[in-house]
Amino acid sequence: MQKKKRFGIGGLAILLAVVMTACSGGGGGTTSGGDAGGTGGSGSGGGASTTEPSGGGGSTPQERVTIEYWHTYSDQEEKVLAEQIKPLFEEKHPNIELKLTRMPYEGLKQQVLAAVAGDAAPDLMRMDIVWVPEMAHQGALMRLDEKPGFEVIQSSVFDGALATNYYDGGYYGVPLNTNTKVAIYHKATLEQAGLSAPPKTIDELVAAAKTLKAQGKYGLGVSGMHSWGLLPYFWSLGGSLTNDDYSAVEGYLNSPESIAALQTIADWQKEGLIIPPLMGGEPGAWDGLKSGEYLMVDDGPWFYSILMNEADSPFKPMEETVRALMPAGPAGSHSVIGGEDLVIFANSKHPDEAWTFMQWMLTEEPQSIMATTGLIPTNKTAAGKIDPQSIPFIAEYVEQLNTALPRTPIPQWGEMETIFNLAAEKAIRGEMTAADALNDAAKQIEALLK
Amino acid sequence: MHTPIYVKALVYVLLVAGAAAFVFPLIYMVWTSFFTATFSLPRPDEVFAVTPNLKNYAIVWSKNNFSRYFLNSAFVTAVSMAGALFVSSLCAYAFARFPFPGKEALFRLFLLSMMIPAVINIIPQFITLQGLGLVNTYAGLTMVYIATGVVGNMFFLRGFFENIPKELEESVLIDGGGSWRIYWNIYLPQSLPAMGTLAIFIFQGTWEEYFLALTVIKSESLRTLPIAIMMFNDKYATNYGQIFAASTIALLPVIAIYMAFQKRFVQSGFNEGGIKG
Repeated sequence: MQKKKRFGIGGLAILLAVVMTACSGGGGGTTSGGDAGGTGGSGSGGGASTTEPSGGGGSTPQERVTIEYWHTYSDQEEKVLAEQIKPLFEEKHPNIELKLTRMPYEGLKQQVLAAVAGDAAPDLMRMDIVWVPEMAHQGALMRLDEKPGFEVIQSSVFDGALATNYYDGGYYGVPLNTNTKVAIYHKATLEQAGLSAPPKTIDELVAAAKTLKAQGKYGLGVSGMHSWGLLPYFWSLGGSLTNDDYSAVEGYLNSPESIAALQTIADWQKEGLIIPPLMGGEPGAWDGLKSGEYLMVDDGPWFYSILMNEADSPFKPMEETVRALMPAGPAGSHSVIGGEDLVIFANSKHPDEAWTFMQWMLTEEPQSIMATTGLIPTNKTAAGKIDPQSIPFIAEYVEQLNTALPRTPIPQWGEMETIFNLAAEKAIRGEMTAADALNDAAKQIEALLK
Repeated sequence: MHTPIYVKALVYVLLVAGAAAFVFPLIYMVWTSFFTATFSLPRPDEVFAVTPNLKNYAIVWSKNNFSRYFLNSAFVTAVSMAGALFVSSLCAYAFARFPFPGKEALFRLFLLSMMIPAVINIIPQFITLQGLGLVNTYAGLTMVYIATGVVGNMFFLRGFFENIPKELEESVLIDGGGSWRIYWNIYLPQSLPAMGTLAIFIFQGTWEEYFLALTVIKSESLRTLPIAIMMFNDKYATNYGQIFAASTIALLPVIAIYMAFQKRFVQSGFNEGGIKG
C-alpha cells in the first residue's frame, strides 16, 4: 500500500510537471478564488503599487504632464539617456516629465501588441526600424506628417532614415538614430593571413580565409543565419530581395544573381571558411575575434562602445582591431541599415507633449549627445559634426552608410524575413540548392504581398 | 537474495554517471558566472580554468534594480503560493467529497481549460485586469497567478484527497465538527506530502514567470526578478558571466524551498495506520 501510493504521487507529479510546462495558466476563469489572494496582495503590496499608477489621471493643461517612454537602449546608452538627455529636456520643458522605462528585448513585440490592445501603451517608444510599417499597419501608431513642425524634422534628417517610417501614404515615426555594420579585423591575425591592410574585396578576403584555414583559423565573419547577418554578403555578391519599390519579389529574390550570391555563401560554408557562429557554434563572434581565432566579424558600433567599457578586460578593441568597409563584391560594398525610430502610439494620453519631446529629440544637441555612445545621428547637422577624436571608431560606420541598404520596409517584413532565413539556411546547410530554395521562397513571399 | 558485488558496482557507476549528467549544467552555470567580460559561453575545457570570484555577483546585485526585484518577487511568490494552495485545496476538497449536479461535467470543463496555451490568454487576461483597474498592481498579478494554477493544482489534489479514508471524516462528524473542520483538521494535515509537492511547483512556476509579469506590471519599480535577468540580455551582446550570476542567485530560493519541502515529498504515506485495517 505504502509503495503503491508513493508511485501514484510520483506519477502524478511527473504528469503535472508536463502539463504545467506544456499549458500552464489554463483557466483564468475561476475568479472566486482569485479575490482572496487579490485583496491579500493589495493589502500589503499597496504601499508600492499606489506610488506610480502611471501618469494618466487628473492632468489639467497647466499641470506637469508625465509622458512615458519605452526604450531598449543598452546599458551604456541608457546611462547617457537618463543622466544627460532627460535632465536637459526637462530643464527646457519644465511642464513635462519624461518617464523612462527600459524594456527587455525578449518577447518585446508581443508586449507592445498586448499594451496596445489593452490601451496601456506608453506615449512614446523607440523601436527597431523594421517594426514601424508593421505596427502602423496594425493601427498602433499615430500619423505624424500632419503635425505642426513635421517639415522641420523632414528637412533636417537623412531621407533614407526617414523612409523607414513611411507607410501607406504617411509617416508614422521619426528616425532617431541609425547604424550599420562594418568589417572588423583582428590585427595580428590579419598579418598571419599575409595582409598588411584589410582586404578591399571579397575575393581578397576569401583568399585570406583559405590561407588561415591551414592554421585552424576562420576568415569570413558571416555571423548568423538571418537577414541581418547574411544580407551584407548577399547584396555585395549581387543578390537582391525585391524590386526598387518593394512590390515584387519573383524575378529578384530568385534572379540568377541572387542564386549565385547565396550559392557562393553556401560554398564558403562547405569549404569551412565561415566562422562557426553561423551554424550556432562556439566561440561567439566577439570572443573568437578577441582571441584572434577569427580574422573578421561584421558588427555595429556597439562592438566598440560595449567592449571599451569592459574596464578589466585585457582586450583593447581600438588597439587590437582595425575597421574597414565591407569587402566589395561584384555589386560593390553593401552593408545593412539598422537603427531605431521614435513613434507615438495612437492611444497616447499626451500626444502633444510626446510630439514636443519628439521634435526636441531630433534637434542637434540631443542627437550629438547620444552619438557619444556610437549611435549615429539621423540629424544631418549632428552627423556632420561627429568628432572622430572623441568617438574614434565612428568614421567607417558613417562612410559605410552611404552604400548601406535597408531591409524591405513593408508591414509583411517580419514574415518575409522568416521565409528568407529558412531558405538561406536550407541552401547553406546543403539541404537544397540555392536555386530551389530561393524559387520556393520567392513564391511564398509573393503570396504574402498580395 | 544476495546481490553480487560487480552488479552493485555497475549500478553505482550508472547512478553516478546519471547524477553527473544531470548536475553538470548546473555546475557549468555556476562556473560560467565566474567569468568576467565573456560574450559567449566558455568552452568546456575553459570552464574550470577560472578562479572562483564574486565579481559578477557584486555587479549583478546592484545592477538593473536586481535586489529590489528580488524582494518584489519574494513577496509576489509568497502571496501567490499561499493563495494558490488555499484556493486549490478548497476546490479539490469540494470535488473530492461533495456530490453536486454537473460535478463531473464541470470538472471536465476545468480540465479542458488547461489545454489552452498560456500565451493565448495573455491579452484577454490583460484586458480583464484593465477592466478591474488592476493593471500595474500586485493584486492583479497575484490574482492571475493564483487563478491560472487552480485547475492543475486541483486536478492533482483531488486524486490525493479521494484516497484519504472516509473513516477519518466520520470521526470528526461524531465529535460534532463540520465540513470546514474536516478540511482543516483532516484533509490538510493528511495531504501534506501532496501540498509540499504542489508548493514546490507553484513556487517555481511563479518565481520564474516572466511574460505575464512584464505585461501586467508597467512600473519599473514593481517588476519581478525574471525581468531583471532578461535585462542582462542586452540588445547587442549578452554578458554570460553576469546572466549566469543573476540566474544562480535566482536559483537559490528554489533550492531552499525544495529542501524545505523535500522532507514532505519523501515522507508520503506517513499517515498510514491512522485507522485500523
